[in-house]
Amino acid sequence: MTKDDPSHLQSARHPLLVVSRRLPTSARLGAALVALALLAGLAGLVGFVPNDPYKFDFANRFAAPAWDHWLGTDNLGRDIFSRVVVGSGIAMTVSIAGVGIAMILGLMVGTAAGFGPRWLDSTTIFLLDSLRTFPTILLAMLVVVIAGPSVFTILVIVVVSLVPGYARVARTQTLALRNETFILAERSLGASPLRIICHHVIPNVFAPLLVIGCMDIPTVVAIEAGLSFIGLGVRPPEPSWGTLLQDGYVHVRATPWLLVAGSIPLALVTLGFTFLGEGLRDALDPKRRRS
Amino acid sequence: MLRYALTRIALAMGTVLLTVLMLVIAIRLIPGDPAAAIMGPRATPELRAAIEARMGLDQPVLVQYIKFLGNTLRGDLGRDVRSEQPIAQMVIEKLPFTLTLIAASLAWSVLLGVVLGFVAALRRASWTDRVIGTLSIAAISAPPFVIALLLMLLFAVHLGVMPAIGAGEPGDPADQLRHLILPAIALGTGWVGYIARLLRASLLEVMTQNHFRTALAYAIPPQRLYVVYALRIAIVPVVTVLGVGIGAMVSGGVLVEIVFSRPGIGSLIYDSVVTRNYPVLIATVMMTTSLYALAMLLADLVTAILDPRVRTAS
Amino acid sequence: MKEQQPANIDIRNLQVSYVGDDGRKLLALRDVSLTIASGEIVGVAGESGCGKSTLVSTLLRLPGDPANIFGGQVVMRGIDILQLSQSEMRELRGRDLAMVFQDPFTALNPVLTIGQQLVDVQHRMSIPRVARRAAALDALQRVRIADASRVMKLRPHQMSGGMLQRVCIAMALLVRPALLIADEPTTALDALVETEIIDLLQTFRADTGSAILVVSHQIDVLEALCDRLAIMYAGQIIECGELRTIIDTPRHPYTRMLLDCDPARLAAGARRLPSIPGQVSRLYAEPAGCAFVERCPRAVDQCANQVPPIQLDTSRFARCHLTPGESR
Repeated sequence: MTKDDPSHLQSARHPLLVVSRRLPTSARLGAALVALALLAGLAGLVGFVPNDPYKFDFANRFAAPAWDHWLGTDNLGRDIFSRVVVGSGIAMTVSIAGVGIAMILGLMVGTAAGFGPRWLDSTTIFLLDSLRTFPTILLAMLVVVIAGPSVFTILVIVVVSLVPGYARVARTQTLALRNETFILAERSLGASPLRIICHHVIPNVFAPLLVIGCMDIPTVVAIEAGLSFIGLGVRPPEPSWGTLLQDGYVHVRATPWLLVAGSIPLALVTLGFTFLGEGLRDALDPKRRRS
Repeated sequence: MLRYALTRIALAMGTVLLTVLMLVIAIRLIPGDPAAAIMGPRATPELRAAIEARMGLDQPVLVQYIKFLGNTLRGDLGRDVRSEQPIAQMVIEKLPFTLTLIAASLAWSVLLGVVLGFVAALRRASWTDRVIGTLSIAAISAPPFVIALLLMLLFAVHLGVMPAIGAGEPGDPADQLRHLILPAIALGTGWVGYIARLLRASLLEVMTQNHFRTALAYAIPPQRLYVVYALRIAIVPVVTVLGVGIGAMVSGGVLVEIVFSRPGIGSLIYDSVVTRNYPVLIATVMMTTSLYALAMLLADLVTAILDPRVRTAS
Repeated sequence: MKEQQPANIDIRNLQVSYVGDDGRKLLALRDVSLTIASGEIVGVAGESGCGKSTLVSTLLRLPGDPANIFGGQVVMRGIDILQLSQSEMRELRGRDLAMVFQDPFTALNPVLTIGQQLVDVQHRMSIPRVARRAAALDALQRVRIADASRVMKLRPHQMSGGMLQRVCIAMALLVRPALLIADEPTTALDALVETEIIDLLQTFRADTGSAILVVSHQIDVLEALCDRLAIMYAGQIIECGELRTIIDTPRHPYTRMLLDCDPARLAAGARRLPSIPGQVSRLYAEPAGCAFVERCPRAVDQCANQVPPIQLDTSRFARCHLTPGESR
């Protein structure tokens, strides 16, 4: 008669399946764009491009888009499209590596602060907050001054500016769990803090960190492009999107295609990861709010 | 309220002091001889020694730091190594340009962002809401310097209707305004989108709360209902984010200033980095960080005014 | 004081459904009828899930309420208010209808002072602001808040639950509604404060002559407060009548079990508190027989197959197959 209908139990399937079924169109679009960006990045890294991105062709400078050069050529006759693809490799590598390293470091710092003695926690929080008040670009310039411009420098800057955010998330979760009864029970049985972190903290922070990380990737791509644009990042002839934009800026009256080529992929990557990140956030949110 | 304000002020000062300390330490870490880097091939031993003494590089970090703080409080930021110009003066000359840019960008983006977010929340799930949502996403999709580049391409180069370089003739406010338009649009666009989405989400959240239900149950007139009962609470996250936003605008502003060849703190910092002009670098970064800390402090204080619960919380 | 005519509220055959989280249609109210005369306090009791919250929200019909009202009427002053548009309902709210909510801590706006909010609810009265402030002060005093002028300047987070609930009652006093709905008014409060609130609600009735509907799962509160009592189960009123008749001689087995479970009426100390086994059913379709059949200790064959009849008595009715003798 009124027994609970068992059909509602179907939802107890693999979480990834559940999540993907609940992604709205915008998130699926985002996922598609992300996939495209990753593929392009891969292609860029292995050199799977239509033309040699470094080859000069002075006879054919500033060419408009055509069949042989899909986005035209730049001030040295190089194929813009190929350079864009290689640039995507740089952008994806730096952003994913940067976010990944920052997440691991942030987790370590955050859990240490959460589990450790109070003085450690207070000091860490103070340091992290001070770091946050430091505008990224200034931080970037400082690091570049010390270490010289290079991809590694950018990575360091990115990691340093992202770690406070992740550390905070990890710390909050650790603090919340630290005083839970079941955790205290485990500890009284001899469980080490490391075990608690691996078994309880990490699964809980995994979802929010994934979402934040996804949304941070566009930020990192923008930082890299910005630094390369002013010459403090990837150096020519490496075709970072930032260097493309710089070339486009310098030669703006000669051709618009460099600027266009540098900006469109950036915008698409930003849109893609933002949509995906938001979709993931709404799907993984236990309250399942639909706006 | 007073207690809260004092605590926040103390915290802000503490952060600035700490940041400058980190700066000084960072400069020390630079490999090589800074004096040589500054002076270049003209570095005679006497000049080198003079530079080191003036920058305090020969003394322990703490002494250098305290000396620097002491000087700053007296308004002496040192002299530019090359031009012998007092740095304080350099900074004061350039500061108004940056401040105007940030103020203009903030003003239009916050106003428009709040209006759009408000409308989107009230007309939730309607066609208007979806359009605003899409536009908001589009606005955030490119960093300010890229928008600056595209604006410059379209309006200054292609169409030729806007100036591409500089801040305008001094003493001619109309011309200066014209030179402000494209940079302010570039710097503010991302914020419109961000604030619109933030406010929309915040308003929708407030409207699900019990106290809003009570106000509905008593049929409080719509104007007062949405502005005083809802918006005043919903706008708090926006105010908080603005504090961070100003810092982001300083960052973004540097690049936008460079794109439009606009004088300002941003280009000052950039030049000092490129030429390794450390005294100028330290002074300008400290100035910027102080501005940033001040902005966050103001945001915190305004938040406390809008939401009295905050005053007792921390 | 505003001149407002008291009115009776006549709920007739109300049928309301919801679309649940799983997408299925849930029957929340099934043929609910109840009359609340002006100056009368009627209580509605039941476990969670019986439909009493739906009853309350159907009366108020706030915008955004997802309920689907597919049958019945609610008649006040000759008009079926269920047919009114939202803008017409807005005319009623805060004038003919007022509500005191369950959680006093979240019922009031956190950034505005009590004084501001009490003044705001008088927005329909064409009296100057000064007069509204005076009325607010007066209302606070009538709900026995000492130092009313200080409280006017406070904000909710600075006050206790009992005081906040009193402010909510004061708010309703200011509009002198035809119907006051109190949704679990004492549930979030402790026992001492409970008595005061009960007292205040009775004073409210005496002052304004409003009809008052009190919804609660706390039988002892209803017993102290109401004139008539209705018991709800699975979306229906299964017993309703004069308070003392119901309490002293309950007819329906569910009512009897509900009364037995009330901790306030335990005769002796008990190891285990009595409870009713099972859970309130959620109905997706009209049952063939009685909705209580699975949990009823006195069920007979008829109960599962035939809809129980309404047995009318002088001062009450009950939906049950059993005769008064059998259900003892």
